[in-house]
Amino acid sequence: MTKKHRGRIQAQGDGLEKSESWSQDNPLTKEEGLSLLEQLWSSLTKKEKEVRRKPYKDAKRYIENIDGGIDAIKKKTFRNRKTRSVRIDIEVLAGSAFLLFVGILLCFLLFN
Amino acid sequence: MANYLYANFLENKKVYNLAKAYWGRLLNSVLEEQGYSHTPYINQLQGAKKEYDGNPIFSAYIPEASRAIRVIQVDPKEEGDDLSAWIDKIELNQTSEQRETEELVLDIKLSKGARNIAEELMKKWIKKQLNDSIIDEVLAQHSK
Repeated sequence: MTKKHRGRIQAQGDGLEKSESWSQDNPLTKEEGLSLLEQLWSSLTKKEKEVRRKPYKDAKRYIENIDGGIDAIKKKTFRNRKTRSVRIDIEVLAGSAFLLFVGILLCFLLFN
Repeated sequence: MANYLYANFLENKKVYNLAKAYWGRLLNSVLEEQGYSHTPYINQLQGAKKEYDGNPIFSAYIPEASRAIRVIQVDPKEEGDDLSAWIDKIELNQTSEQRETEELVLDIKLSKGARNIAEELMKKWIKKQLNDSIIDEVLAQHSK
């Protein structure tokens, strides 16, 4: 069955297509989002990282600075501007993501 | 230095909205011939606030062509070429994990030259005459 909250973080461009995705009943927390980004980063080779260092930092900063979460459909692209399409994409495809754990807990307590 | 349209769009919300409307008018003119329509598909909010970062500044799903266009407008002072483009995929049906829509992504510093190339790419995209190698050709042709 399709989960309510889905999305993915992708490293793309120059023939690469690696991603970390989520599909769950509760919104992804900011901490989980940063952890997925780290997992994606760890899966890249040295060469793949070299050209995505700035996109990675920009994507990380974006997640860290999100205030109040984001709702689907959302897609942010962080590109290495010296290349045509080497980038990191963040996609929220269903539901919400990048909420603070405290926020999710409060919602849970309020609505249950 | 090229002459950029809405150059201070990141500093002034009014200018930002004008730039966004400009993209809507440009796509309307591209779709006029076929009588196609378009609707935005990217949520522009972060929490309760609207984002004004240009990433993306404009998105449009064209149901008659089953295609999407996303425009990322960047500050003219940023490094790199005025225009880059690529083809991506996005799930637009939130209730299903199956359906992916092809998406043309334009990453642009809005000079008049870049605008004309963007228009050409949009036209080809709607007519399903665009792929990665044709994008390369179009971009190379205009960079000469």
